Amino acid sequence: MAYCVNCGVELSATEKKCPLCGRPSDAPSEEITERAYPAAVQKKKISAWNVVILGVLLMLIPAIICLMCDLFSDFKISWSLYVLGGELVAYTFITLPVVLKSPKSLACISADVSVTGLYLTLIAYLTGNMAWLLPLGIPAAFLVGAAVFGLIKMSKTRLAPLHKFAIGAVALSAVSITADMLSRNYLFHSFFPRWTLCGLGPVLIIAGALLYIEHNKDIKDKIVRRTFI
Amino acid sequence: MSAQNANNKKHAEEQYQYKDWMRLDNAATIYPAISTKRNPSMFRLSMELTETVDPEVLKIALEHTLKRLPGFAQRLRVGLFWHYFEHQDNAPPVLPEVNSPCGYLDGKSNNNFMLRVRYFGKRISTEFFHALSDGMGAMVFFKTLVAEYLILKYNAQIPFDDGLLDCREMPKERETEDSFLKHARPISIGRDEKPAYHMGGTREAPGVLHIITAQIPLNEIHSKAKEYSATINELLVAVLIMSVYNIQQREARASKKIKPIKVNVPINMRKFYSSHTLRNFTSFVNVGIEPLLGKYSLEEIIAVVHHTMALEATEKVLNAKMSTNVTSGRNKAIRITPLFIKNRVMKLIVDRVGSRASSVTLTNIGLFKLPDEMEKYVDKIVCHLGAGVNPVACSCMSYKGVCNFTFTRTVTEPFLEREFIGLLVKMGINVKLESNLK
Repeated sequence: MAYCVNCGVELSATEKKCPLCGRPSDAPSEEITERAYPAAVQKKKISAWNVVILGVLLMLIPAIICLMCDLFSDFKISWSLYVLGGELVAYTFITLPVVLKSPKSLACISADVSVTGLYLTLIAYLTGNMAWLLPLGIPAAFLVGAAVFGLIKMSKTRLAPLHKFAIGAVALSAVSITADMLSRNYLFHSFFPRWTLCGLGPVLIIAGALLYIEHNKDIKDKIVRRTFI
Repeated sequence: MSAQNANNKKHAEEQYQYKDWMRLDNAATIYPAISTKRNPSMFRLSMELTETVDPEVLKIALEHTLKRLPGFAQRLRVGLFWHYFEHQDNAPPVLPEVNSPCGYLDGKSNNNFMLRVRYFGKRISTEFFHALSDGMGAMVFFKTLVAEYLILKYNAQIPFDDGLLDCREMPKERETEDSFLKHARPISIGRDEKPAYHMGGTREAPGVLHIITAQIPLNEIHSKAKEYSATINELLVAVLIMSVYNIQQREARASKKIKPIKVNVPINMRKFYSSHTLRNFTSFVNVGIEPLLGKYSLEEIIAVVHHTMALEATEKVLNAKMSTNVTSGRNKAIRITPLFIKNRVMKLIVDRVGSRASSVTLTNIGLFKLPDEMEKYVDKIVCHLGAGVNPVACSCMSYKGVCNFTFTRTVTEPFLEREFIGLLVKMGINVKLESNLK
């Protein structure tokens, strides 16, 4: 008879260790009889690289069909490059977090911004209009990447919820002002933002109010008391 | 003479008319809608014999048993408005045991049957999809199967009764009746209950089920229950509540996380009515404590369990509960709603009302008796509940002086087992453990 001195229980002759605490059974090995249940069948996990290879194969199907249709219509490769480029962008967005063992947001977002930039360059090249690429396309891709990165980092910080809201509102306002500046620079050759400045004032006031409420316990308590669900 | 005629007439009326298909009973309708790989809605009964099981004989015994109990030889079909059962003439294969039983029913590998028969060494087990039957109905099937196996294998002379059927008899109509419909009254009560505390843990992959069976000497638990002036069932439910309570005290410090601790105790409705159905006919009582009210001792919890059961485990309250479900099932708007919409709504209701209202389920089948001619071949009987939304489920069955209390769990950590068994050991009760762990 075997016992677990940790848990104070007797162990059946089929148990090699205590099922409660994991302490090995005191019984001599010859006393341990056959198992009470058969061994678990270990299921093989599908490796991330298999997913990548499967993804490539699946994406090859529409790519080849588009290439063939494009080629046979006028014996030139033209519009199918949009499809191929789009597939490459989607592929990078999806597979990179799967393949990386511990996906780092900076690495993934950098790669996503790079392929988006490349795809925009391809579109500009195919349409024969490169004028919008450097002043608008590439900076917009970087801006969106930076905003997403900031959002992820913010969600992981241990700030008070009201602080998060305040900083998030100011950051969102900054992103929209930058987007406004980029579009105005491209259209009117002037970096001075217009419509987004109208929103900046209220956003700053709200952010300030949120920060004040977070620091003032009495006001916070009053609001919580009157608005609880 | 007239009495004999009446008997003959009654006998003729009872003769089973083989049905090609039948509606699911009122409780069963929910299970196809909610069962998933993570929550397969399965339970299992096992008997350990004195000798190694012969799978060939078991296969023949299964065929005979299914002929006697055609209510179990069913395939689940999808209709436009409801699921239904379709009778099958063949039998499911007799399968070798697996490490994690009560897995999701994969139709094709099981000839589309709603039950699975397994063998391992000296053990015969049957896993049932809950839509087919409840614990008591399944127990009749299982006892009949094992008795038939013993008759074929050892030519055992086993006396038959209501709970142990003779495979050479014809099936009876009353065994497949929907007793919910028969006994429901035109009343309905609210289903809303405060959400109960749910234990956490690291979820295992779907299909993985950890089992720990605590073998407790019946005389020791009985005398301990006597000390507390309680029944064995009340003591076990109270210790289970106490275990979850201790876990909650450790894990959930914020008052928002302190929720009621409730144990779902299924109640066999057959004891209130003269029902012989082998389909679902159980209701339940959620019994527990509200930890926000203050600290509870075991004695207080036992008193709560005792009085709650006395108030709620009555024919009137349980009938009202089942009548509410029957009334919903009779609603014309619900009946004409297509099944795919109904499935989603039923799942929502179960998630919102059913699963959230209890922290853990404990099925206590109680003291199990077999005829002496059968008992000499059977060493042990165990019941397993497939855990689902709640990560741990408990079942209990006493046989040959041992109370087999089984925990089935879908999370890695044995929190509840450690707490529960620890409490029993502290009470001075000897506990022996058996598991399916590596």
